[in-house]
Amino acid sequence: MSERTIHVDTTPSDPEALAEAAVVATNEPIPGGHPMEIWISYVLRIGVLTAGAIILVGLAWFLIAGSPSGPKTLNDVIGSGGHGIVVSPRTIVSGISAANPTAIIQLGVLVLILTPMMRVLMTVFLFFAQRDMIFVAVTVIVFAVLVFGLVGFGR
Amino acid sequence: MHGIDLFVVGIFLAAVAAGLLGSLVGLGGGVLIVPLLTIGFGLNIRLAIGASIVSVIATSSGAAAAYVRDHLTNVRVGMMLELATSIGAVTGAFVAVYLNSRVLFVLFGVILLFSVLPTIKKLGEDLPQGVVPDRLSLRFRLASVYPDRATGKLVAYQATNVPTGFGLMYVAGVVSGLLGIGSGALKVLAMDTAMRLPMKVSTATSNFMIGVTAAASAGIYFWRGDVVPLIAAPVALGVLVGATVGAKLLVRFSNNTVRLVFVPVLALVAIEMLLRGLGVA
Repeated sequence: MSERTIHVDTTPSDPEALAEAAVVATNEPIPGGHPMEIWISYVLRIGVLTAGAIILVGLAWFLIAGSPSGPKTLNDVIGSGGHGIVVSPRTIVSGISAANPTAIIQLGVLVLILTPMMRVLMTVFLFFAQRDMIFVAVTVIVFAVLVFGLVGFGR
Repeated sequence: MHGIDLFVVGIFLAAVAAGLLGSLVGLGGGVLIVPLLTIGFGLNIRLAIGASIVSVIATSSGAAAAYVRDHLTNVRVGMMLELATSIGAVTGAFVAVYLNSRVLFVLFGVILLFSVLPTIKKLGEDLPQGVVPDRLSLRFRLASVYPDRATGKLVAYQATNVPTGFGLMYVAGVVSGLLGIGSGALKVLAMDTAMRLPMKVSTATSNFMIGVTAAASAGIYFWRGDVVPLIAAPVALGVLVGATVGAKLLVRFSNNTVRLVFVPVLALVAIEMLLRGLGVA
């Protein structure tokens, strides 16, 4: 992995030498060739499909059966003053146990938000497997920012 | 069917069209969702942005899953720059609360106009020549290779101007978090023009990054209650359907014809958003 065929010490002012160095690098690993990356792409696909399925179930349920405690009019959907109703893990759980289809949609949205986060987490292990410690650090910080974005701001 | 049901189905159909158009023109569906929900359905721009950011995750994660097959994505460049975009996105979503919705309309119009530019005039180069890697590019080993379809050979490339690219990516993140779009145009600009990566690599890497950037701000919108389920659900599902169909159609149509038809439409939408923000419309 650390083998680089591009000699970066090529006289930088010599474009020809650089172009030559940039022609073909035969023993370079092809990007996206690590077996773990295939797992990561599966996680992304499964995450989006799961989220899409949950959202579809919630939406279909709403359209077919309506919602017991949910919005009745267009104004309920849009919310007064343009701002929606504040969401918390508790409102989602109680909404689902009350068989409220909009809470099921919210669960699907949450799965969707968690999907790219899972990818970042798995990439930490990918870089670790490649013994690429700088990038382990970079990816851990990105993950921390995502966690902060998800839980860092008050309700 | 009641009023709400019609409203939901209408949004779904409009989102299918937006996803279709977005993928045909080469922009994400997000840039069309917000104008559609505000101008078309008269919704508050904050709720439009909340629904849009969720749909951005849906479409981009689907596209990003393909990165293993395309062999074009530079995961190291992507991850390093995600540092900038994710911090930017959190900043943007946080700041958005304090901004008047008219400011959001103006910003959206400006960014949409700007996003249309690369679809008219090709920016960047297919394989930039004579790129001298800078210190950070060497330190983070950003150089890589990509397979060239025509010759079947691996083509090596370098990256440069990492600090400029990083700065532009922060801005792209802020814009994404503020307006609920993927800001792919800004991301490609940072990688093509500043860091001088080959066009195919920067486009693929941008797609790879969009979902993570969007996820960084989506949580903030979600807990705040700006992701209204009955708006976000039809939007996310509709854009997903539209983008999937669009990707299939793209193989058959030349997207130059599509661009010629729709770029003026996009420009008009951008101007409409601008005028709304300025209080003229």
